[in-house]
Amino acid sequence: MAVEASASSQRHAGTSEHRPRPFIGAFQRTLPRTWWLRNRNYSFFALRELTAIPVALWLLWLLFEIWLAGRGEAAYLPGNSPLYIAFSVVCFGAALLHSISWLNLSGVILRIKVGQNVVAPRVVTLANYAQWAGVTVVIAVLLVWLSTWRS
Amino acid sequence: MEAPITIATPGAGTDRTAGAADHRGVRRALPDTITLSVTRFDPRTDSTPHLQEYTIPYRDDMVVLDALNYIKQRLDGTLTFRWSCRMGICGSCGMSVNGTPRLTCGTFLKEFYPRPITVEPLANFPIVRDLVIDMSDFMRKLQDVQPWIIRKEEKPVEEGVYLQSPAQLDEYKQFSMCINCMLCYAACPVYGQDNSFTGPAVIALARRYNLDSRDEGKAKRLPAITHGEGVWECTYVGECSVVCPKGVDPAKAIQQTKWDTTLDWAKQLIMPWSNKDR
Amino acid sequence: MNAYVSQHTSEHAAHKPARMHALWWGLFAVGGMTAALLLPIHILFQGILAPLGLVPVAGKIMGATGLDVSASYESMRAALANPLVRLYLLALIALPLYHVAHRLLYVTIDLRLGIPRPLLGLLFYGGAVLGTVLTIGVLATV
Repeated sequence: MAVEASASSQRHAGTSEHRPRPFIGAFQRTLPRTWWLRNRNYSFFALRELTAIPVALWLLWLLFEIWLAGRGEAAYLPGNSPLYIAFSVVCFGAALLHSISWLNLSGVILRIKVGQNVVAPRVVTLANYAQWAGVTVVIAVLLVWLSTWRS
Repeated sequence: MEAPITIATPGAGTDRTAGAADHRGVRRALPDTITLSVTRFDPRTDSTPHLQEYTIPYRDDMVVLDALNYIKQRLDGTLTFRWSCRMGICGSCGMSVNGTPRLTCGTFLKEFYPRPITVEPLANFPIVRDLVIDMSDFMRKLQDVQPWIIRKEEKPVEEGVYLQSPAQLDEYKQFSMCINCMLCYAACPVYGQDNSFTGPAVIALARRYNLDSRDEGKAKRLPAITHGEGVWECTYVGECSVVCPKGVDPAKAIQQTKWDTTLDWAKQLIMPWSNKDR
Repeated sequence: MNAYVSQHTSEHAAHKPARMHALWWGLFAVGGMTAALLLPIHILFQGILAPLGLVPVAGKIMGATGLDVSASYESMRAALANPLVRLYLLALIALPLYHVAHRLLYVTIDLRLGIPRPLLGLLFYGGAVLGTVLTIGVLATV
C-alpha cells in the first residue's frame, strides 16, 4: 500500500544497506592554495573579504581619537596629516567596495512580501541603496552640525 | 604525455564533412580539426592521472560530449565518462572544461575553437577512472536531508490530492529545478577545501522541501543542514550559482537559510513559549 | 580533509544545531550592514574632507594654519557629552568588529595554516569581544 511503502522507505533510507559507499582507490585531489586566482569571481571574493581589514583599522583609529579626547586638550591630536588622509582614502575605497557588494547581495537574499507578492530583488536592492543614501545624508548633516557645538 | 591520437580517415561520411559538395556545388575545404586534452586515470595501473591529447574533426554544431563520444567510438574505446540524456536534464555529464564546471552536453566546441580544450573530471571529487568521479559523498548528503514530502500523518490516497496555489508553488519552485549535476560542488572552494561541508545543492534541496506547503518535515530536515558543517560554513563566494545550469541559485538558498534559522533560534531564545513546529 | 571520515557523522539524527555559529553569523550580518550603511560617510567626512579643510566635522576643524585644536577639542567634547552620540559610536565601532572577525576567521581557515579551528575562533571572536569591551570602556570614561 502506498502509505506503508513511503513510511518504510523513510525508515530504511539511512541504514547501511542503502548508504552509498566510497570507491576504494579513487584518486584524491586537493584544492590548490592559489584557488582564488583561478577566475575573476574568486579573486573578487578574496578582495571583498579583505576589505574587512581597512574597515577594522579605520574604526580602531577612530576609537583612538575618541580616547585622545579624554586626555585633555593638550593631548588631543586627531588624524589630519597627508599620511592619515592617504590611509583614509584607502579605507574609503575598501568601505565602498564592502557597501556596494553587501547591498547588492542582500538585495538578492532578502525575501520581503507585500501581501501575496514577493518584492523583486532589484527593487529590494534599490531600496537598500535609497536607505544608504538617506542615512549618508543624515550622518553628514549631523557631523557638520556637531562641529558647531562647544562644551 | 602519450602520443596524440589523430583522425584515421579524414573526409569520410556525411555531407557536413570535407571534400563533399553542398547543394550549390560548393566544395568544403579540408576538415577542420580540434584538439582535446583529456584526463586519463586507470586505478589498476596508474598512480596519478595524466592528460592525453586527441585530435578530432570539428563541426560547429558539436558539443564536448559529442567530441568525447567520437573519441570513444572511433579513436580510443577505453575512455570512460558518464552521460545520458545529452540534453541538459539528467545531470550526468558534468566535467571540468578548461577549468570551469560545465555540462558537456551543453558546451559547444565553437566556444573554444580553434584553441584546444582541456576536459578533466569534475573538480573537488575523487577520481574513479578517467572522467568519472566518486559521487558517494554527495549521495549520502542527499539522503541526509530527506528530500521528500514529510507529513506528520500520511494523507490516505482516498482523501485526494494536495492542493497548492501558484503563489505557494512560487515559494520553492526555483529551488526545485536542481538536476543534481554537482557542478556547484565543483565550483565551491569551501567544499574543495573540506568535503565535510554539506554543499550548495543539498542545502537548496532541503530549502525546497522546507518551503513546500505540502511538507511538514522542516523540524526533521533542518538539523541536517544547520549543524557545524552545514550552512554556516558557506562564505558566499557565489560561484555555485554562477555555474548552475538550471538557475537554481543555491547561494541564495543558503543565505536565506542562515537568516531564517538565526531568526528562528533567536525567537526560540526570547520567546520559548511560541512553539511553531512546522 | 577526507570525505570518508564524515561517513559516520552524517547519519540521520546525529547532528547538533550549531547555535553558536548562528550567533556569530547574526553578529556578522548586523555588523556588515552597519559598516555598509554608515562607514563610507564617516571615512569621507572625518578621514578625507575634514583634514583637507573642505568641511568641518565634530572633532576635526581645520583653521588657517592647520588644525584648530581648540575648536576641534571643544566640539568633540560637546558631542561626546551627549549619551545618544556615545551609543551611536558604540554601535558604529563595536558591531563591525564582529563582521571583521567572522570574515578574517574564514579567510584564515582558507589559508590552511594548520591552526586548529577552536583556537582561531577564540582569537578572532575573542578579539571582537575584547574590542567591544575596550570601546565600552573608552566611551564610558571619556
